[in-house]
Amino acid sequence: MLSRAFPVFAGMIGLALASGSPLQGQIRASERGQVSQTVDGTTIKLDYARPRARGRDSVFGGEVKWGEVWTPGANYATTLELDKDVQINGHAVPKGKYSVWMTVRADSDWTVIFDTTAKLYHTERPAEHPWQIRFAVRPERRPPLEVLTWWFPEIRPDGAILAMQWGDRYVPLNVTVTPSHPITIAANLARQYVGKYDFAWVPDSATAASDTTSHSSTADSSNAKAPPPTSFEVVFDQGSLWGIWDPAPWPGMEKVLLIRAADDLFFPTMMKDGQIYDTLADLAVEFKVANGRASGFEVRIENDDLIATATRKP
Amino acid sequence: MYNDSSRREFVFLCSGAILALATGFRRRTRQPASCHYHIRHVVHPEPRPGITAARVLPKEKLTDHPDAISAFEQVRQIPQIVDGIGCHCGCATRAGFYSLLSCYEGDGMAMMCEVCQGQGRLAFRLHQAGKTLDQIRAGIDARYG
Repeated sequence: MLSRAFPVFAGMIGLALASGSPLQGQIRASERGQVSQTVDGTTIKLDYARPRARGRDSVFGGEVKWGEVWTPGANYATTLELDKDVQINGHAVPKGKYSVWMTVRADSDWTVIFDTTAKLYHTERPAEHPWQIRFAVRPERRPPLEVLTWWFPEIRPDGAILAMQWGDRYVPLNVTVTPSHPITIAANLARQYVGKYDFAWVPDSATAASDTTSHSSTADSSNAKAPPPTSFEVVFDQGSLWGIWDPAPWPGMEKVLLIRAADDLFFPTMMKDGQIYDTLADLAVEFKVANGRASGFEVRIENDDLIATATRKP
Repeated sequence: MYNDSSRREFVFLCSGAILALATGFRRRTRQPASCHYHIRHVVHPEPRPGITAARVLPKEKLTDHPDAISAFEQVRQIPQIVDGIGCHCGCATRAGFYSLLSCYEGDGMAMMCEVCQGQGRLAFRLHQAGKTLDQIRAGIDARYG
Protein backbone atom coordinates (compact mmCIF):
# COMPACT_ATOMS: atom_id res chain seq x y z
CA MET A 1 0.00 0.00 0.00
CA LEU A 2 2.72 2.41 1.03
CA SER A 3 4.87 1.48 -1.96
CA ARG A 4 1.95 2.17 -4.29
CA ALA A 5 1.10 5.48 -2.69
CA PHE A 6 4.66 6.75 -2.65
CA PRO A 7 4.91 7.67 -6.36
CA VAL A 8 1.68 9.66 -6.10
CA PHE A 9 2.88 11.46 -3.00
CA ALA A 10 6.29 12.12 -4.54
CA GLY A 11 4.59 13.42 -7.65
CA MET A 12 2.52 15.87 -5.61
CA ILE A 13 5.63 17.14 -3.87
CA GLY A 14 7.38 17.46 -7.21
CA LEU A 15 4.49 19.42 -8.69
CA ALA A 16 4.41 21.72 -5.70
CA LEU A 17 8.13 22.42 -6.01
CA ALA A 18 7.96 22.83 -9.77
CA SER A 19 5.09 25.28 -9.58
CA GLY A 20 7.02 27.40 -7.10
CA SER A 21 4.01 27.76 -4.81
CA PRO A 22 4.78 29.71 -1.65
CA LEU A 23 4.52 26.87 0.82
CA GLN A 24 5.93 28.97 3.62
CA GLY A 25 2.94 31.27 3.38
CA GLN A 26 0.32 28.52 3.66
CA ILE A 27 -2.18 28.74 6.45
CA ARG A 28 -1.62 26.00 8.99
CA ALA A 29 -4.51 24.05 10.44
CA SER A 30 -3.26 25.16 13.86
CA GLU A 31 -1.32 28.39 13.71
CA ARG A 32 1.41 28.95 16.28
CA GLY A 33 0.75 31.55 18.97
CA GLN A 34 2.58 32.99 21.94
CA VAL A 35 1.49 34.72 25.10
CA SER A 36 3.68 36.06 27.87
CA GLN A 37 3.23 38.05 31.02
CA THR A 38 5.69 39.62 33.41
CA VAL A 39 4.71 39.85 37.08
CA ASP A 40 7.11 41.45 39.55
CA GLY A 41 10.07 40.61 37.35
CA THR A 42 9.07 37.03 36.57
CA THR A 43 8.19 36.32 32.94
CA ILE A 44 5.76 33.51 32.17
CA LYS A 45 5.74 32.54 28.49
CA LEU A 46 3.51 30.11 26.60
CA ASP A 47 4.19 28.96 23.06
CA TYR A 48 1.55 26.78 21.44
CA ALA A 49 -0.22 25.83 18.26
CA ARG A 50 -3.86 26.88 18.19
CA PRO A 51 -6.30 24.26 16.89
CA ARG A 52 -9.77 25.33 15.88
CA ALA A 53 -12.97 23.46 16.76
CA ARG A 54 -14.20 23.92 13.15
CA GLY A 55 -17.78 23.20 13.96
CA ARG A 56 -17.14 20.16 16.07
CA ASP A 57 -19.74 20.04 18.79
CA SER A 58 -17.65 18.26 21.30
CA VAL A 59 -13.91 18.78 21.30
CA PHE A 60 -13.35 16.82 24.46
CA GLY A 61 -14.62 13.29 24.35
CA GLY A 62 -14.38 13.54 20.56
CA GLU A 63 -11.26 15.02 18.98
CA VAL A 64 -9.53 14.71 22.35
CA LYS A 65 -10.47 11.39 23.88
CA TRP A 66 -11.27 11.03 27.56
CA GLY A 67 -8.37 9.58 29.47
CA GLU A 68 -5.88 10.77 26.87
CA VAL A 69 -2.63 12.55 27.74
CA TRP A 70 -3.00 15.57 25.51
CA THR A 71 -0.96 18.70 24.91
CA PRO A 72 -3.24 21.74 25.14
CA GLY A 73 -2.27 22.89 21.68
CA ALA A 74 -1.38 20.99 18.52
CA ASN A 75 1.59 19.77 16.50
CA TYR A 76 4.64 20.33 18.71
CA ALA A 77 3.67 20.34 22.38
CA THR A 78 2.78 23.56 24.10
CA THR A 79 5.71 24.91 26.08
CA LEU A 80 5.82 26.88 29.30
CA GLU A 81 8.94 28.94 29.93
CA LEU A 82 9.75 30.59 33.27
CA ASP A 83 12.73 32.81 33.98
CA LYS A 84 12.31 32.45 37.75
CA ASP A 85 10.94 29.85 40.10
CA VAL A 86 7.17 30.06 40.62
CA GLN A 87 4.39 28.14 42.24
CA ILE A 88 1.48 26.90 40.15
CA ASN A 89 -1.61 25.82 42.06
CA GLY A 90 0.67 25.59 45.08
CA HIS A 91 3.23 23.33 43.40
CA ALA A 92 6.83 24.51 43.06
CA VAL A 93 7.85 24.89 39.43
CA PRO A 94 11.55 25.78 39.01
CA LYS A 95 12.57 28.18 36.28
CA GLY A 96 13.07 26.48 32.94
CA LYS A 97 11.19 25.31 29.89
CA TYR A 98 8.62 22.54 29.97
CA SER A 99 6.27 20.80 27.60
CA VAL A 100 2.71 21.05 28.89
CA TRP A 101 0.30 18.13 28.97
CA MET A 102 -3.09 17.40 30.46
CA THR A 103 -4.81 14.13 31.15
CA VAL A 104 -8.43 14.91 30.31
CA ARG A 105 -11.32 13.17 32.04
CA ALA A 106 -15.04 13.42 31.58
CA ASP A 107 -16.29 13.63 35.14
CA SER A 108 -13.32 14.12 37.39
CA ASP A 109 -10.27 16.33 37.82
CA TRP A 110 -7.77 16.63 35.01
CA THR A 111 -4.05 16.18 35.62
CA VAL A 112 -1.67 18.92 34.52
CA ILE A 113 1.80 17.65 33.60
CA PHE A 114 4.91 19.76 33.08
CA ASP A 115 7.65 17.67 31.51
CA THR A 116 11.26 18.82 31.46
CA THR A 117 11.63 17.69 27.84
CA ALA A 118 10.25 20.76 26.13
CA LYS A 119 10.55 19.74 22.48
CA LEU A 120 8.08 16.91 21.95
CA TYR A 121 5.62 16.25 19.17
CA HIS A 122 2.03 15.92 20.30
CA THR A 123 2.16 12.18 19.69
CA GLU A 124 5.26 11.79 21.89
CA ARG A 125 3.32 11.68 25.13
CA PRO A 126 5.82 11.57 27.98
CA ALA A 127 5.75 8.59 30.30
CA GLU A 128 5.28 9.36 33.97
CA HIS A 129 8.59 9.94 35.73
CA PRO A 130 9.72 11.48 39.03
CA TRP A 131 11.02 14.75 37.64
CA GLN A 132 7.68 15.63 36.07
CA ILE A 133 5.47 18.11 37.86
CA ARG A 134 1.94 16.75 38.10
CA PHE A 135 -1.10 18.08 39.86
CA ALA A 136 -4.87 17.93 39.63
CA VAL A 137 -7.07 20.74 38.32
CA ARG A 138 -10.81 21.09 38.12
CA PRO A 139 -11.90 22.30 34.66
CA GLU A 140 -14.82 24.68 34.49
CA ARG A 141 -17.61 24.84 31.90
CA ARG A 142 -17.73 28.08 29.90
CA PRO A 143 -19.48 29.23 26.70
CA PRO A 144 -17.54 27.53 23.88
CA LEU A 145 -14.41 29.05 22.37
CA GLU A 146 -13.63 28.19 18.75
CA VAL A 147 -9.84 28.52 18.92
CA LEU A 148 -7.76 26.99 21.71
CA THR A 149 -6.53 29.94 23.71
CA TRP A 150 -4.09 30.52 26.54
CA TRP A 151 -4.25 33.90 28.25
CA PHE A 152 -3.85 35.76 31.54
CA PRO A 153 -7.32 36.86 32.65
CA GLU A 154 -6.11 38.03 36.06
CA ILE A 155 -2.92 39.71 37.24
CA ARG A 156 -2.10 40.34 40.88
CA PRO A 157 0.93 41.90 42.55
CA ASP A 158 2.11 38.41 43.49
CA GLY A 159 1.03 36.40 40.49
CA ALA A 160 -1.53 35.77 37.80
CA ILE A 161 -4.12 33.36 36.55
CA LEU A 162 -2.89 31.54 33.46
CA ALA A 163 -5.88 30.04 31.70
CA MET A 164 -6.52 27.66 28.82
CA GLN A 165 -9.82 27.21 27.06
CA TRP A 166 -10.93 25.22 24.07
CA GLY A 167 -14.51 24.33 23.38
CA ASP A 168 -16.41 24.64 26.63
CA ARG A 169 -13.61 23.59 28.99
CA TYR A 170 -11.74 26.29 30.86
CA VAL A 171 -8.69 25.42 32.97
CA PRO A 172 -7.33 28.16 35.24
CA LEU A 173 -3.83 27.82 36.70
CA ASN A 174 -2.89 30.01 39.64
CA VAL A 175 0.70 31.21 39.23
CA THR A 176 2.42 32.77 42.24
CA VAL A 177 5.76 34.48 41.62
CA THR A 178 8.70 34.93 43.95
CA PRO A 179 8.60 38.52 45.29
CA SER A 180 11.47 40.59 43.94
CA HIS A 181 11.80 42.31 47.30
CA PRO A 182 10.34 41.25 50.63
CA ILE A 183 7.81 43.67 52.07
CA THR A 184 8.90 42.97 55.62
CA ILE A 185 12.02 44.19 57.33
CA ALA A 186 13.72 43.10 60.54
CA ALA A 187 12.88 45.28 63.51
CA ASN A 188 16.51 46.05 64.29
CA LEU A 189 17.05 47.29 60.73
CA ALA A 190 13.81 49.24 60.67
CA ARG A 191 14.65 51.03 63.90
CA GLN A 192 17.36 53.15 62.31
CA TYR A 193 14.91 54.75 59.89
CA VAL A 194 11.92 55.26 62.19
CA GLY A 195 11.21 58.87 63.08
CA LYS A 196 9.86 62.18 61.85
CA TYR A 197 11.44 64.09 58.99
CA ASP A 198 11.09 67.52 57.42
CA PHE A 199 10.48 66.78 53.75
CA ALA A 200 11.06 69.30 50.97
CA TRP A 201 10.82 69.10 47.21
CA VAL A 202 13.91 70.44 45.50
CA PRO A 203 13.43 73.17 42.91
CA ASP A 204 15.80 73.35 39.97
CA SER A 205 17.65 76.36 41.32
CA ALA A 206 18.16 74.77 44.71
CA THR A 207 19.36 71.60 43.05
CA ALA A 208 21.87 73.47 40.99
CA ALA A 209 23.21 75.18 44.08
CA SER A 210 23.46 72.23 46.38
CA ASP A 211 23.79 69.08 44.31
CA THR A 212 27.32 68.36 43.17
CA THR A 213 25.89 66.20 40.41
CA SER A 214 23.74 69.06 39.20
CA HIS A 215 22.52 69.30 35.64
CA SER A 216 22.31 72.26 33.36
CA SER A 217 19.61 74.57 34.52
CA THR A 218 16.69 75.37 32.33
CA ALA A 219 16.42 78.92 31.12
CA ASP A 220 13.72 79.92 33.56
CA SER A 221 15.07 78.01 36.55
CA SER A 222 15.85 81.21 38.39
CA ASN A 223 12.12 81.61 38.84
CA ALA A 224 11.67 78.08 40.14
CA LYS A 225 10.00 77.74 43.50
CA ALA A 226 9.68 74.56 45.49
CA PRO A 227 6.27 73.32 46.57
CA PRO A 228 5.62 73.83 50.27
CA PRO A 229 7.53 71.54 52.63
CA THR A 230 5.72 68.71 54.26
CA SER A 231 6.17 66.29 57.11
CA PHE A 232 7.15 62.68 56.57
CA GLU A 233 7.05 60.11 59.34
CA VAL A 234 8.61 56.67 59.04
CA VAL A 235 6.92 54.05 61.19
CA PHE A 236 7.47 50.34 61.73
CA ASP A 237 4.16 48.52 61.73
CA GLN A 238 3.25 44.86 61.27
CA GLY A 239 6.78 43.96 60.24
CA SER A 240 7.00 46.55 57.49
CA LEU A 241 8.31 50.07 57.13
CA TRP A 242 5.81 52.77 56.22
CA GLY A 243 6.04 56.41 55.23
CA ILE A 244 3.27 58.78 56.25
CA TRP A 245 3.03 62.11 54.49
CA ASP A 246 1.27 65.12 55.99
CA PRO A 247 -0.01 66.57 53.78
CA ALA A 248 0.18 63.93 51.08
CA PRO A 249 1.66 65.12 47.79
CA TRP A 250 -1.04 63.25 45.89
CA PRO A 251 -4.26 61.41 46.79
CA GLY A 252 -3.51 57.84 47.74
CA MET A 253 -0.02 58.69 48.96
CA GLU A 254 -0.94 59.49 52.55
CA LYS A 255 0.67 56.25 53.69
CA VAL A 256 3.09 54.30 51.53
CA LEU A 257 4.85 51.03 52.15
CA LEU A 258 8.62 51.36 51.91
CA ILE A 259 10.04 48.27 50.22
CA ARG A 260 13.72 47.69 50.87
CA ALA A 261 15.73 47.09 47.68
CA ALA A 262 19.19 47.28 49.24
CA ASP A 263 20.95 48.76 52.26
CA ASP A 264 19.32 52.14 52.93
CA LEU A 265 17.51 52.05 49.55
CA PHE A 266 13.72 51.83 49.43
CA PHE A 267 10.95 52.11 46.85
CA PRO A 268 7.64 53.71 47.92
CA THR A 269 4.68 51.48 47.23
CA MET A 270 1.03 52.44 46.98
CA MET A 271 -1.46 50.18 48.75
CA LYS A 272 -5.11 49.50 48.11
CA ASP A 273 -7.39 47.47 50.35
CA GLY A 274 -4.38 46.15 52.24
CA GLN A 275 -2.74 44.87 49.07
CA ILE A 276 0.21 46.18 47.10
CA TYR A 277 -1.13 48.27 44.25
CA ASP A 278 1.93 49.79 42.62
CA THR A 279 5.61 49.95 43.49
CA LEU A 280 7.11 53.22 42.32
CA ALA A 281 10.48 51.79 41.35
CA ASP A 282 11.29 54.98 39.49
CA LEU A 283 11.39 56.83 42.83
CA ALA A 284 14.38 55.82 44.91
CA VAL A 285 14.38 56.74 48.60
CA GLU A 286 17.99 56.72 49.81
CA PHE A 287 18.50 57.08 53.56
CA LYS A 288 21.68 58.56 54.97
CA VAL A 289 22.65 56.45 57.94
CA ALA A 290 25.47 56.96 60.39
CA ASN A 291 26.00 55.11 63.66
CA GLY A 292 22.80 53.15 63.21
CA ARG A 293 20.55 56.15 62.80
CA ALA A 294 19.23 57.84 59.67
CA SER A 295 19.82 61.57 59.59
CA GLY A 296 17.66 62.04 56.53
CA PHE A 297 17.00 60.80 53.06
CA GLU A 298 16.95 61.81 49.42
CA VAL A 299 14.41 61.00 46.74
CA ARG A 300 15.77 60.51 43.24
CA ILE A 301 14.02 59.75 39.98
CA GLU A 302 15.02 57.44 37.15
CA ASN A 303 17.81 59.62 35.78
CA ASP A 304 19.17 59.99 39.33
CA ASP A 305 17.93 63.54 39.46
CA LEU A 306 17.43 64.71 43.05
CA ILE A 307 13.82 65.80 43.54
CA ALA A 308 13.38 65.87 47.32
CA THR A 309 15.33 65.79 50.54
CA ALA A 310 14.33 65.07 54.09
CA THR A 311 16.05 65.83 57.37
CA ARG A 312 15.30 64.13 60.66
CA LYS A 313 13.45 66.38 63.07
CA PRO A 314 15.28 67.07 66.30
CA MET B 1 -8.42 57.36 43.49
CA TYR B 2 -6.00 54.57 42.70
CA ASN B 3 -6.44 54.40 38.98
CA ASP B 4 -3.51 54.28 36.60
CA SER B 5 -4.15 57.82 35.61
CA SER B 6 -3.58 59.20 39.09
CA ARG B 7 -0.51 57.03 39.51
CA ARG B 8 0.99 58.29 36.30
CA GLU B 9 0.19 61.81 37.29
CA PHE B 10 1.87 61.31 40.62
CA VAL B 11 5.05 59.92 39.14
CA PHE B 12 4.98 62.68 36.62
CA LEU B 13 4.62 65.18 39.43
CA CYS B 14 7.49 63.66 41.35
CA SER B 15 9.70 63.60 38.30
CA GLY B 16 9.21 67.29 37.92
CA ALA B 17 7.27 67.22 34.68
CA ILE B 18 4.18 69.02 35.87
CA LEU B 19 6.25 71.28 38.04
CA ALA B 20 8.42 72.04 35.06
CA LEU B 21 5.43 73.50 33.29
CA ALA B 22 4.21 75.39 36.31
CA THR B 23 7.33 76.65 38.01
CA GLY B 24 10.28 76.04 35.79
CA PHE B 25 11.30 72.63 37.10
CA ARG B 26 13.24 70.58 34.59
CA ARG B 27 11.48 68.25 32.19
CA ARG B 28 12.09 64.58 31.72
CA THR B 29 13.71 63.43 28.55
CA ARG B 30 11.98 60.92 26.29
CA GLN B 31 13.01 57.30 26.12
CA PRO B 32 14.47 56.35 22.75
CA ALA B 33 12.74 53.60 20.82
CA SER B 34 15.66 51.25 21.43
CA CYS B 35 15.40 51.69 25.19
CA HIS B 36 13.39 48.74 26.47
CA TYR B 37 13.19 50.00 30.02
CA HIS B 38 14.49 47.99 32.91
CA ILE B 39 16.00 44.69 32.02
CA ARG B 40 16.13 42.98 35.37
CA HIS B 41 19.17 40.80 34.98
CA VAL B 42 22.29 41.93 33.21
CA VAL B 43 25.72 40.41 33.00
CA HIS B 44 28.28 43.01 33.93
CA PRO B 45 31.27 42.99 31.58
CA GLU B 46 34.88 43.22 32.64
CA PRO B 47 36.35 46.66 31.93
CA ARG B 48 38.58 46.55 28.86
CA PRO B 49 42.24 47.21 29.72
CA GLY B 50 43.30 50.68 28.75
CA ILE B 51 39.76 51.86 28.06
CA THR B 52 39.42 55.64 27.91
CA ALA B 53 36.65 58.17 27.53
CA ALA B 54 37.98 59.33 24.18
CA ARG B 55 34.77 58.27 22.39
CA VAL B 56 32.33 59.70 24.95
CA LEU B 57 30.33 62.40 23.20
CA PRO B 58 31.49 65.94 24.02
CA LYS B 59 29.25 68.67 25.32
CA GLU B 60 29.07 70.26 21.87
CA LYS B 61 27.18 67.22 20.57
CA LEU B 62 24.57 67.47 23.33
CA THR B 63 23.09 70.88 22.66
CA ASP B 64 19.64 69.37 22.09
CA HIS B 65 19.81 67.50 25.39
CA PRO B 66 21.23 69.88 28.00
CA ASP B 67 19.82 67.82 30.87
CA ALA B 68 22.05 64.92 29.84
CA ILE B 69 25.32 66.88 29.77
CA SER B 70 26.19 66.27 33.41
CA ALA B 71 25.78 62.52 33.00
CA PHE B 72 28.16 62.54 30.04
CA GLU B 73 30.65 64.68 31.96
CA GLN B 74 30.56 62.33 34.93
CA VAL B 75 30.93 59.21 32.81
CA ARG B 76 33.88 60.85 31.06
CA GLN B 77 35.66 60.95 34.44
CA ILE B 78 35.28 57.23 35.20
CA PRO B 79 35.41 55.25 31.92
CA GLN B 80 37.19 52.32 33.58
CA ILE B 81 34.26 51.98 36.01
CA VAL B 82 31.41 52.53 33.56
CA ASP B 83 32.99 50.02 31.17
CA GLY B 84 32.48 47.37 33.85
CA ILE B 85 28.75 47.96 34.10
CA GLY B 86 26.03 46.32 32.02
CA CYS B 87 23.07 48.47 31.05
CA HIS B 88 19.60 47.75 32.40
CA CYS B 89 17.71 49.60 29.66
CA GLY B 90 17.95 46.86 27.08
CA CYS B 91 20.45 48.57 24.82
CA ALA B 92 22.84 45.64 25.20
CA THR B 93 21.18 44.11 22.15
CA ARG B 94 22.41 46.97 19.97
CA ALA B 95 25.24 46.31 17.56
CA GLY B 96 28.61 47.34 18.96
CA PHE B 97 27.42 47.47 22.57
CA TYR B 98 29.94 46.41 25.19
CA SER B 99 29.03 48.21 28.39
CA LEU B 100 27.20 51.22 29.78
CA LEU B 101 30.08 53.24 28.38
CA SER B 102 28.85 52.29 24.88
CA CYS B 103 25.62 54.19 25.58
CA TYR B 104 27.64 57.37 25.88
CA GLU B 105 29.61 56.81 22.68
CA GLY B 106 28.68 56.73 18.99
CA ASP B 107 25.13 58.00 18.62
CA GLY B 108 25.09 58.69 22.35
CA MET B 109 21.75 57.03 23.00
CA ALA B 110 22.18 57.89 26.69
CA MET B 111 21.29 61.47 25.83
CA MET B 112 17.68 60.30 25.42
CA CYS B 113 17.59 57.44 27.91
CA GLU B 114 16.91 58.18 31.57
CA VAL B 115 17.96 54.71 32.66
CA CYS B 116 21.38 55.14 31.00
CA GLN B 117 21.74 58.60 32.51
CA GLY B 118 20.66 57.40 35.93
CA GLN B 119 23.10 54.50 35.93
CA GLY B 120 25.95 56.79 34.85
CA ARG B 121 25.17 59.34 37.54
CA LEU B 122 24.70 56.70 40.22
CA ALA B 123 28.00 55.06 39.24
CA PHE B 124 29.68 58.42 39.58
CA ARG B 125 28.12 59.13 42.98
CA LEU B 126 29.03 55.72 44.32
CA HIS B 127 32.57 55.99 42.95
CA GLN B 128 32.89 59.39 44.61
CA ALA B 129 31.76 57.75 47.84
CA GLY B 130 34.64 55.30 47.59
CA LYS B 131 32.69 52.23 46.51
CA THR B 132 34.39 49.43 44.59
CA LEU B 133 33.28 48.34 41.12
CA ASP B 134 31.46 45.35 42.59
CA GLN B 135 29.67 47.58 45.08
CA ILE B 136 28.75 49.99 42.30
CA ARG B 137 27.39 47.12 40.22
CA ALA B 138 25.35 45.92 43.20
CA GLY B 139 24.00 49.43 43.77
CA ILE B 140 22.96 49.76 40.14
CA ASP B 141 21.36 46.31 40.12
CA ALA B 142 19.38 47.15 43.28
CA ARG B 143 18.16 50.42 41.82
CA TYR B 144 17.55 49.48 38.18
CA GLY B 145 17.33 45.70 38.18
